[in-house]
Amino acid sequence: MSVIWSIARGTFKESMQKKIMWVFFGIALLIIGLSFIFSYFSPSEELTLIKSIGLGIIYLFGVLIALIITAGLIPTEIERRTIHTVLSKPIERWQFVLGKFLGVALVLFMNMMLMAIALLIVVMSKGSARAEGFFKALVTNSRILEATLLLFFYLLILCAFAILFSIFSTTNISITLSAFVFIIGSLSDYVADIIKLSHNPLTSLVLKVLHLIVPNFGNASIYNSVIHGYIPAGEARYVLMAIAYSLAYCLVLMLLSTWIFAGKEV
Amino acid sequence: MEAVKTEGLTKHFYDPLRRQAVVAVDNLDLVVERGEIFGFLGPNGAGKTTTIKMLLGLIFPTSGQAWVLGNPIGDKKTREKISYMPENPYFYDFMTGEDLLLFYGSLFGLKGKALKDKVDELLHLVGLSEHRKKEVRGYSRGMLQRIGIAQALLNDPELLILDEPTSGLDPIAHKEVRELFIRLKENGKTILLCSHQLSDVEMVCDRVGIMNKGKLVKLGRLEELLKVGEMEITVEGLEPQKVEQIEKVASRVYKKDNNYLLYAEGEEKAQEIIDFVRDNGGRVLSVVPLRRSLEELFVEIVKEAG
Repeated sequence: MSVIWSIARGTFKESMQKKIMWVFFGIALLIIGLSFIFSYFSPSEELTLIKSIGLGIIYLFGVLIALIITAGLIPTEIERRTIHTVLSKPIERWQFVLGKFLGVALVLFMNMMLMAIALLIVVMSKGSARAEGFFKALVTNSRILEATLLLFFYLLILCAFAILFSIFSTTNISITLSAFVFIIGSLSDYVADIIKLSHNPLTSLVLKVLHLIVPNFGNASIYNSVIHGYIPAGEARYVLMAIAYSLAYCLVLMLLSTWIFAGKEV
Repeated sequence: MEAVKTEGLTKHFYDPLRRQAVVAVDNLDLVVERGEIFGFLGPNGAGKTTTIKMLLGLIFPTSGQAWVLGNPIGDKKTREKISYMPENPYFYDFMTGEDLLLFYGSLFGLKGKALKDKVDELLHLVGLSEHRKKEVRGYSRGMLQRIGIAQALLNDPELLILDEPTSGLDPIAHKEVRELFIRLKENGKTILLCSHQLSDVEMVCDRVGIMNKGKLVKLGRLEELLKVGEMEITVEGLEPQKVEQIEKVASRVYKKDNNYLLYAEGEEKAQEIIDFVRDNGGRVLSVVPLRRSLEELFVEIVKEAG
């Protein structure tokens, strides 16, 4: 476990030094901060809008971080040959892959949570705290963190896909394939409708396979219900189910990745 | 038990441009004995690095077998006892020298005070204590080599596989590293040394193997390989007419000041000359078996192999 943790920590440190990540993070914070401009709506509409847009921004930049940082992790190690020194040490290849995955998961978690905290501060300072009292408002708005956690687990699946693709392709191809998975997964419900309507057996088969393999990222939109309190407070079932769904996907993808990586020449 | 043993080790790579397999290592039979410094030589593209990568389990043989410290290649337990320093040491350049060693040490399962002490000791050994907090991206080529050597010593390895460990070092560091290799050998370590610095190899290696175009074209003890079979005998007090007689036995004769330099092909002829000189009132000042440099041998072998 300490080996996996060492690799995860190294990956975290390396990723946190990438300029592109801080650019994403900075832009996201800027947009969340600009939510102050919504002053033409009623206070409750304004907060609803800020939360929705804020979470959308966190999701979008989470996707970008998941794709761009993760897809380059293993190809960069191979291109720079840093992998030679690491794999010549007494570590198993699956530990290396898992360490990389956990490292990027930490990066994603930290970024998304920091953005969520920024959003929470914006929402609280928009008057929510004054209207409800600080602690009550904090409890109500902490659903932002809950919704972000939900999104994080969905994006973890995207990281696992990016790791899988990066093992047998370049960074750019891995980004493209992962983005494709994300788009198809986000349109999962539409794909299901097209399958029903399709008369071409080949198209239908291809779409069915895609629908079966690709996770339903559309489910992530449940975050809207979470932040706006449509799901009763304390009802952790939805979040837990989303976490279980994500972890099951990640487990399968990691098994596949480690199996392929075990036979890869570096 | 040998430190490294290969039997018919072969590696083919597929060349998509030529649409054919390229033989990088061809049927390599090699033994590196424990406790020796073995020079693994060859021009660029000879197959040395490919062989090393197979020994480390980074790539897989097309055919043949290999063992490291008695275990099949790729064995995790074996990797606890070996270390590797790659050619052009590519390290995580965002880390400081100290962090880099702490990181690699943790991969060996070292932790806590034991790890910190080991890192301190190695940074001191390679002369990087003052630069421990500097990011590796700011290191000079020589400093990179030094940190590369330090990381290769973290696990007190039984076998060190070093690919060009002295390139980029200044003459003083060069000498220090050579002395370090000899100390490691005295402590029972085995070193597989890949280097284009033939003078280093000549000074420290017990045996060498020369690869060319994927094949092992020469293997043997250094003194045997460098011997040319000719002896140089320096004599004094020999009369000129006696020298004329000896020219029938000696391959070459030169006059140098008041002495003569006589060259004999093989030990038998050398003994014949020595006896003749003594019987005829001359005095043998020295008998030196002639040897060529490793560079001469290397060039000759590579040219022969084409």
